[in-house]
Amino acid sequence: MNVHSEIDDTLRRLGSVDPPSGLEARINQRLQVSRNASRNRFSASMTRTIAACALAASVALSAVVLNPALRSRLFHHHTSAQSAPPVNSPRTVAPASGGFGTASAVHVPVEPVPVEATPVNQGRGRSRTGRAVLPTGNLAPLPRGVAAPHAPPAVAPDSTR
Amino acid sequence: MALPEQDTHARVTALVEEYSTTLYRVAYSVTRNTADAEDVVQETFLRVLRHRSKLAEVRDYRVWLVRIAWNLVLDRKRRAKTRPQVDDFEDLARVLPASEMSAENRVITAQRHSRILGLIDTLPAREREVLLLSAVKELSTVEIALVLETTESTIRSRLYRARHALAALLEQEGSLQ
Repeated sequence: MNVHSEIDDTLRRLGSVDPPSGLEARINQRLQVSRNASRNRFSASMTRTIAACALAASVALSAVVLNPALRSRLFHHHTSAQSAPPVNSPRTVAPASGGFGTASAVHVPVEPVPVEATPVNQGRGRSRTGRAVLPTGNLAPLPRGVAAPHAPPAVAPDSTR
Repeated sequence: MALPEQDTHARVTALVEEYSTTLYRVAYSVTRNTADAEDVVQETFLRVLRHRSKLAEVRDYRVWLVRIAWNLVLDRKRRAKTRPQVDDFEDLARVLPASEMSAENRVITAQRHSRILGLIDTLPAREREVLLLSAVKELSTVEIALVLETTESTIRSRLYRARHALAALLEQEGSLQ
């Protein structure tokens, strides 16, 4: 046998070895184990996340319930300063209190609240709505420094003296 | 685009069925140890499972899988270099197909194969790798070129050089004996 045929024979045998029996089954089994492990890791991490969120929420809720100052700041301050209803909106009557939470903490007036009329600029060049208007031509421009009177000047009683 | 989970599962199972033998041969050509070669094949499919999102993009599964297995086995070989490598003639005699021989001839043949394989290991890395991959009967020259990310002509020239160098080493060894 010459060297080239020896090399060929060795390479041929090396490249045609048969795998041990049950190789595929063992591979599939290992893949299954890996799949299950990754699935368990995912569910464990989800459980941990949910538990952490629940704990944080309960701590926050407890803090609000147990601390009157915090509760007052959270509910009363915001309701009066930021979420006040518009002036002309219909007033609602508060529901019967006695519950727990935001609804019982909001003070809704039981009677209509008197609203003062909004002051409107009534000077020259102003409409009643407060918007600027163009002069119609019947108003002569006043000299500088002279204010337009709201009403005719009252005559002083001692002016005839 | 990623495949649905069920399709991925079926695809990986089909790949195991179709290519585990080829991958085993690729791994065995380097490790020459049944347990290590099987470990490499299992690790290859675990990598496939880990990168299953890429499955839909793969054009040639055989080349892709052989490349993964090849890189894994070379890594393993590199790490094992610190350990002394012992030629296991009995393992070679048991594994290399030579069923037609008597037990005595099998051992002699295994020794001869082991000697040639030992000489292959002394070849330069690039030539050795081409020679070992060319031994795997399922792989064509084009596929070897794709696995090693080079051209087909480069593979042919490396193979030619490897065979001639190996023949020279064998003749030299034979003349010394």
